[in-house]
Amino acid sequence: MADTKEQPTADKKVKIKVRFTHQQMVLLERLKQEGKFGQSYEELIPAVFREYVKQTFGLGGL
Amino acid sequence: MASYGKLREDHLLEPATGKAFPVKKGEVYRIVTEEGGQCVDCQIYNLFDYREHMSTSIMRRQGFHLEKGDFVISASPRNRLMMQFLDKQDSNIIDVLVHRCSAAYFEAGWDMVSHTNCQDMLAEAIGEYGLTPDDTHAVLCPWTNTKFDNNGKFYLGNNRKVKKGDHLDILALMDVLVATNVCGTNDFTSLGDYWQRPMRLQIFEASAETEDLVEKVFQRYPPLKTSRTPKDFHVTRGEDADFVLKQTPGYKPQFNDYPIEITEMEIELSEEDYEQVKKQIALGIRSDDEDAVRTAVIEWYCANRRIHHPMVNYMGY
Ligand SMILES: [Zn+2]
Repeated sequence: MADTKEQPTADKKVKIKVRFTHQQMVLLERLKQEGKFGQSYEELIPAVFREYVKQTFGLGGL
Repeated sequence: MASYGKLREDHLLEPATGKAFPVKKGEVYRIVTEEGGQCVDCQIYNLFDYREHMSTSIMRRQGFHLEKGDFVISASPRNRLMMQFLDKQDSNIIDVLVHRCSAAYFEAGWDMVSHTNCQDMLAEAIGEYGLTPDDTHAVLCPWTNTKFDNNGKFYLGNNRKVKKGDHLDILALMDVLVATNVCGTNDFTSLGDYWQRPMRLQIFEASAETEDLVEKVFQRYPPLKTSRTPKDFHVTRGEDADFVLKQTPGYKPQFNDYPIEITEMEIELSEEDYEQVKKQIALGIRSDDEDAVRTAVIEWYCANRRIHHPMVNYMGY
């Protein structure tokens, strides 16, 4: 019998270019050192974005 | 609106810099938003006696936010009308409540010992006219959307309604030196939407119409007989000539954290997170994808990691 179960697919991602001033990079570097949101900027920026949405607009976001 | 004389000065004010210019009676000093809204700071001195300078505390008698027709007034005991606001857009909140940011402000609030700041930029700008950092005074802040609650606690709004090309025109009622800088907090507060942008400074020569406006101001508000100057004091220090502002030829300002360096990176958001970006843009609270992500990250940092200190103890970020 053929397996009809859907194969899990990788989550689709949306790429965004973001610029930061060197003064803002100091803050990002501290968050990276902290480690709570990830070990790289690519990890921590989306994680902090989600935290911000939760804190500002509530658990479900807007 | 009155027609002004010829444009005689046109200066692109880069982030992390400030610039001082003499403006003569009847001339119009214009500040233009080159890209969009953000806080700028101004200081204003009598060109021939820098002991006389603008006082925001006396100007607050006209309100915490100033409007077209309001005045720049010099501190006691001089108490003279120095300049008048001629034209501005409604979205431009001219604040006389906040204190300029300084290096100590960023150290106290963010433990940063190097961040572009108004105090140092203004000091470098007025240095061209022989003034020292101690000669700075409380600032006038166009595009500074302060708000306050019923207890008098203040917090910062944003400048998202400000458009590229918006301007503030200020008529000189006497010969003055005006120093303006792009506020250092713009990339750390909602006033700059967490970004640093250039502004433009322009000066228009006097015209028959602007001279007439000056005349009308003094017909309505004649100089006050009790405005006191050193000739009325029984204790004085120095000679009057010591306080005349003169440009230092070849002066080179030494701005810290200039130029602002930019790092661009590409990040990936899940479709679910990106939905939140799109909703914020649709609501008009963010202008684009980049703004939504950058504002979220820096505002989150300021809300959760900023240090509590009396130097930065206002509500909001
Ligand atoms: Zn500032």
